[in-house]
Amino acid sequence: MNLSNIPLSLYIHLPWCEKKCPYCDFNISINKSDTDEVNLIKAIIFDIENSRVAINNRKFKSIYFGGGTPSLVKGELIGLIINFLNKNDLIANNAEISFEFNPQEVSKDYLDCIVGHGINRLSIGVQSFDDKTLSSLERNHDRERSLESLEVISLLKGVRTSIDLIYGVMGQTLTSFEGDLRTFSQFDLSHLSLYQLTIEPNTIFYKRELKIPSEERIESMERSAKKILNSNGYFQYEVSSWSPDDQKGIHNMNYWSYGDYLGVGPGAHSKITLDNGVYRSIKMKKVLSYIENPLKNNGKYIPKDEIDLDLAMNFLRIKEGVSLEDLKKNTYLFSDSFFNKLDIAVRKGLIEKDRFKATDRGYKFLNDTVNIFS
Amino acid sequence: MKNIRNFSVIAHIDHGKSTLSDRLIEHCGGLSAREMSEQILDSMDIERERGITIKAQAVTLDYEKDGEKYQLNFIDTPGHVDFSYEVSRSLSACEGALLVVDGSQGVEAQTLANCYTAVDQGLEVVPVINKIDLPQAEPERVEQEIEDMIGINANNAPHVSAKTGVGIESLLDMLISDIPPPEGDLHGSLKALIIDSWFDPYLGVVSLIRIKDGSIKTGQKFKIHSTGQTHTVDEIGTFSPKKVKKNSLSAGEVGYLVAGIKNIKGAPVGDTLLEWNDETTKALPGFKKVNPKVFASMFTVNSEDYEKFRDALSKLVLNDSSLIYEPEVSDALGFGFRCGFLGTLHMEVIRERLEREYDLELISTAPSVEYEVLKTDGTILKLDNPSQLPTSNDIEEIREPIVNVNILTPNDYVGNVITLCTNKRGIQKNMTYFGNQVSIIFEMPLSSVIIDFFDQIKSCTKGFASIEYSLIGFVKSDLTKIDILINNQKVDALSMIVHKSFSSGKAREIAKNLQKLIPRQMFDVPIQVALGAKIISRETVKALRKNVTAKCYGGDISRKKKLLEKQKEGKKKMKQIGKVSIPQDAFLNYFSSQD
Repeated sequence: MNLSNIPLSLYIHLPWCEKKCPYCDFNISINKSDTDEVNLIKAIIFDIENSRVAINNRKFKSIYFGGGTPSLVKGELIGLIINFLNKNDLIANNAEISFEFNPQEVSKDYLDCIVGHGINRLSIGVQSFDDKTLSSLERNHDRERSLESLEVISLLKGVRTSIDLIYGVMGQTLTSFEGDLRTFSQFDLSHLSLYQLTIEPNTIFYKRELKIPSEERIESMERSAKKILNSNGYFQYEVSSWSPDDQKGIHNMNYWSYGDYLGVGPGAHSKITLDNGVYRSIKMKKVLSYIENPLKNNGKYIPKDEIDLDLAMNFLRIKEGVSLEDLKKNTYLFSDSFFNKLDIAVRKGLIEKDRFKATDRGYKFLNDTVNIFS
Repeated sequence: MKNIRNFSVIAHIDHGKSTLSDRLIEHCGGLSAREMSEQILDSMDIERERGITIKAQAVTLDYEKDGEKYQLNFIDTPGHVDFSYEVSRSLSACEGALLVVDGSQGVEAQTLANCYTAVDQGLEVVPVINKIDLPQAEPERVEQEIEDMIGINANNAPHVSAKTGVGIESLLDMLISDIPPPEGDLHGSLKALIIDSWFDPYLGVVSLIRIKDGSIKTGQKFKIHSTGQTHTVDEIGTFSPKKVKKNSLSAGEVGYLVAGIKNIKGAPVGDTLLEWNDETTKALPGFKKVNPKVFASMFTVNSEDYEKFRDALSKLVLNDSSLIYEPEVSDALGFGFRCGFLGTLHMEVIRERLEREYDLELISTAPSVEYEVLKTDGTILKLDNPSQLPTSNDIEEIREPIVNVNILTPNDYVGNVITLCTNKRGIQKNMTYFGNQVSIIFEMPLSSVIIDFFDQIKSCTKGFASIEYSLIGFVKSDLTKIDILINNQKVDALSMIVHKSFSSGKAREIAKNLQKLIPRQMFDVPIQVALGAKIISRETVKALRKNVTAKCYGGDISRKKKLLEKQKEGKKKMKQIGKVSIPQDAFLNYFSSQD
């Protein structure tokens, strides 16, 4: 295996938000200062500049500005990063360069600025077009604001757009959710991230008693989503991703198909294949700690007996899985135990016989299916 | 000898016996302040956590009064009905007993029972009113109650607070003046009683002994009466409660003995030590052999742990001769052991010790009693495992153990107690009023007493009632066996013997309990309770509809991994029966009443 043939993506974490959302358990921070902002961008550039071993003469086939709320960072600072990457010839031809927005922050000037710098895909955290659902989630934008921002975006040329929608929210009805899906379908968008509200530990919601919709209602929401989205040309290709077949997110697909990625910025995760194995690491989580020492990370080589789980956790998220031939390209990493486990999963009817792909049942019980490989 | 006093303490759980013990030790300088940790005598972790004493222990204290030095040998006794056997052992080494009664609560059933035992054994009982620091303490009422219920004079009972130390001095004085010194022949030939024996990994068997006649010293040869084996004393001494080596122990004294005995059966509790060449002296009366009353099967969650489990049990019985066990094979649960216990608390304690001290994950089945089955061929079969019950064609009659239950309760709760006992097939035999306290005697099946009864009595009397019971005998009863099927597979180890009139109610309860206790799986799990071939109750654990798979963001799979690991760990703690994963607590709680 020639390591420099493994595809490589870049994730850039811009951690600031206006406030902490009650369901969010990402590494975010509030109270952005202008000095921190400039220093963080410098640190990120320094970090990439000193990641030659990880990059290993490769070019990034996708770049993702995530957060937090990247759109809180000044457009010209985004430009500094992209210029640096271009100057060092680190961006592959036709690379996907994504940028996350909150509807609240979308403005024509800002969009023009970052698109001018090379951003070609936008991801908007709409969550819902129903003000009731938005207030259950305690979001700071409303339906009107989301529609306006989508109007503005639709005028941009050569930019693909994805939005996030969420279901299983307190008080959310089937009708309201179907409304969200129909509104999404009215815009000519390339992609939808659709996910169920999960209440994670360390979130504000975790400490509250919430009345989330019943299992039955959630199931009917999922059935509805499939029907509405399919009839509008969107198909599920990953647990929480829907798009026309030719519009899949390159960046996320790289995660699931076990590509490499370099993560820069506070608390960013990396996965890099090195001569000794697969190295996973995480940067310092606090903004100031990262700025002080951008190269410092906590990481380890994935032990051989954990690689099976690693592969299953990623490939099986892809609806179509991966062919056994493509999977075997990774066999230099793992042992026979993988195929024993695969046998068990096949016998249980959770994975298909001739492809590393969850069956319908296996996809429904993905945690149980994946856990066979642990 | 005239300056020795051997005494034990009789007290209900929570009446402050252990705290009082600590105060006495502290007062007599048995330990320095630095060494005093709360409740020294309760040395096992579980004893400390549950605030109960399980094994008997002894402490020798030095006390000086008016220029005279006294040796006070204090033998601690367990306070729970399950361990009454240990109490009678402790008492047999004493001339007196302190009866400690909580000044805010009054006399409790178990105290009463132990007190009668002490009086029967000819001990001088010295009443003490404890916890007088509490605002709700009513020492005068409690004194009256002691006189009414036990029939001993409590007018002069010292009022103490073990917590603050008030009255400890007068308690010690009373101890010296009221409890007679031991009798015995200091210069006669050796005669000593083994009160308790336990296994110490470094020393071998250590025995707690009371010298009746003569003396014993280091290096001396002696004989154990029942085995006829001779041994040589390696070490003797007393507890302060630390071990204090001595050269000899003489008539009237209580202390420990180490003699290179490797097996606990070599120094049986209740046996007599004699001179090595003494062929004529008769043994001391000893103790009645105690039989287990409650039985349950225990299995390891992971079948690989079976050897470890067997090893743990064999070590545990070294210190607990009342525990019995034999191998059992269950179709559904695999290899395990059928164990016999003194009572349900004993069962819980053993289980906890196995899990904690030997790092085992165990599941145990519903506790059962021993039954007598008269078969149609005229033979009598004794069994304690419902799965061994012969088919109904072969059964002429089934007899179950009946106990005499004495419940002491404040007047206000008499109605609740009678209702509860009647619902549990109890027959009221007697009722006596002592002021505000009422003693109610019921005859009840032991099987009703061992499941939930203590908790239910406590909850229907706001915690005020106390219970004591003793076995009367076996009585013919209309009993039947119910079987439990999980996912259409009979789980033999869960079978129970119940009274016919209760079978359908119990069946419903069990099915409902299991429905709640078994987590949802990827498929429907039917739960059926059968009487013979007939299903009398049925519930279903509905299949899980799907997993919730969260969005994965920024390539961070670490959180997801942790979650999966947690699920995997949780699953490891479950027992697999066929395709179904069943958690430990399902086995512990499936037979309990919901209220």
